[in-house]
Amino acid sequence: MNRKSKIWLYILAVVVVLIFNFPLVFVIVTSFKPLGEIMLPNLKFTFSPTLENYKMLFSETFPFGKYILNSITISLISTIGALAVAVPGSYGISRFGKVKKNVAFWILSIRMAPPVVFALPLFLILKWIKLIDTIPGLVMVYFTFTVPLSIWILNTFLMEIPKSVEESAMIDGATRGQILYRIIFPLLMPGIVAVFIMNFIFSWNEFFFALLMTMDRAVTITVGTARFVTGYSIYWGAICAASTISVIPMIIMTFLVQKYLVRGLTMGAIK
Amino acid sequence: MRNDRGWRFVIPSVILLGFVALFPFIFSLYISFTESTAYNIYHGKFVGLGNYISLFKDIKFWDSLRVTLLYVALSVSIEMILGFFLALLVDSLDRYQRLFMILLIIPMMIAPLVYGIIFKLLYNSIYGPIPLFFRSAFNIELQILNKPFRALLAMVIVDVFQWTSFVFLITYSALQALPKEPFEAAMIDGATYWKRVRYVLLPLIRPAFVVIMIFRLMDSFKTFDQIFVITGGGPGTATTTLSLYTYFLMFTRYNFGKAAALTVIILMVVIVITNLVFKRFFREVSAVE
Repeated sequence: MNRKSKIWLYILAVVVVLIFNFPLVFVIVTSFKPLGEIMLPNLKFTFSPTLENYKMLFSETFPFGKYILNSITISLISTIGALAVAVPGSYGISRFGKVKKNVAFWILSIRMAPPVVFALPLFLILKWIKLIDTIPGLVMVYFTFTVPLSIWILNTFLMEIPKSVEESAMIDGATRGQILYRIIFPLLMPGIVAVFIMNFIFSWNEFFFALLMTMDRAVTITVGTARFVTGYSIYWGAICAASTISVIPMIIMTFLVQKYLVRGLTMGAIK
Repeated sequence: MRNDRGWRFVIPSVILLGFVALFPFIFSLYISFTESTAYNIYHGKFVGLGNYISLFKDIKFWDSLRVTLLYVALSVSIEMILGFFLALLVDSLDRYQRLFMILLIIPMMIAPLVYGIIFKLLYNSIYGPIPLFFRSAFNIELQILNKPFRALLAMVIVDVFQWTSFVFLITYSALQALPKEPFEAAMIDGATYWKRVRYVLLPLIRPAFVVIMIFRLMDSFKTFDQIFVITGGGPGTATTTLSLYTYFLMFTRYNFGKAAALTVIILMVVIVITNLVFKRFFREVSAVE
């Protein structure tokens, strides 16, 4: 290919990047716009930046700080809890033929099923055990996706650890449990970190379950953001500020796991 | 190593998943055979297949199925094509491939709900930048969200904006993993770039492409957040997908029995599809050693 068409390729790539990131850039820029100027019916690109939208977010009117805290707590617990069962679980699945096939298929089905399938019964169960609108309740619901994801992704990492490592430990008289925690666990660390961050991102971005299962005490950042869209008006300034706050940490986390992103997103079908 | 009790490591996961996924499903199955509503959940009259029959007679169910299929078909096919060409584009750059890759995968990391809200602002007919652009550039008053088909297309555009990055990322990494030799051989034989893409590259990445498509089909089938916040299923039922319809059955019409019947049907379809996928693409995981 000649030099000239190479330059065109770069121009095309830059244009594509600009188009696909326009919504995000737009919302970040708008979050610094004075409220009065957001809803003006003209295309204006100059304005004097302000933090009033962010201040509004943390004022008395909106308990946005609480939503953030709820989201952090819920994402952390659902992530760590899932890992606590998924590390031994995936080890069991990867090393023992008999349990493998059925459990693995079952876990993949849960990943594929739309959340709406679980919504009604989980809602009724939470009501029944009085965990509606509580952090433990929502954490439990989030296990429906964090646990299958964790088991499946860890499984692909476990398959890369050679069996000979375990066999030699076994000859030395180590039990299965010792092998898991002394030998497998340290080797699995990169996988655990990757799964941790991915679970965190999915929990943080979740909206549907949080919408159904929370009203006041356990409202998360996504539901909190959606609340700025009310029947009477839409608080665009606050929405843009809230969106910016919720998006930036996820983008940073993505870069931390990009090496394993493909594996996580395709449940290990492609590495 | 075969008969030492490996299954005990799996017990905590199975119990937990049994409680949060299997038990709810059985519960749903039970509710789907009863005349259960919000006011009478546990003692609804047993109606057999009544809910399923009433569902099949419900024109709104067929409507939402049609909307869902149209939405999924349009968004996934556009994403697959765009994502593929984006991957080719970035793959053919000499430098800064990684930078472009990172910049292109940002959209899919944003919460779908947040992405939906951003587009609600972009689409706003009074001060949204897209209608404003059309007004100042072509002097057209563009109403996006109150015309049925246009609203559905608008939802497809949101999906495309967010999830083309997924197709791109996976295709791109599949391209990176391809062996170089077939391409060099084709080049020596004098094949042009597009001939190499068509006859060497496409057959090689076909398996990866099928996996990507299945994930996109399933995930776009699930879509709820964006549509819920942008149109709420309207105008009329123009953007009411199966997920939204189920939600309305449950939490605005409180017809739990019928909603449960619908979720059972959805899950059955998903299990059949997953079974096909599992056999074909996850064989390495399932193979008994």
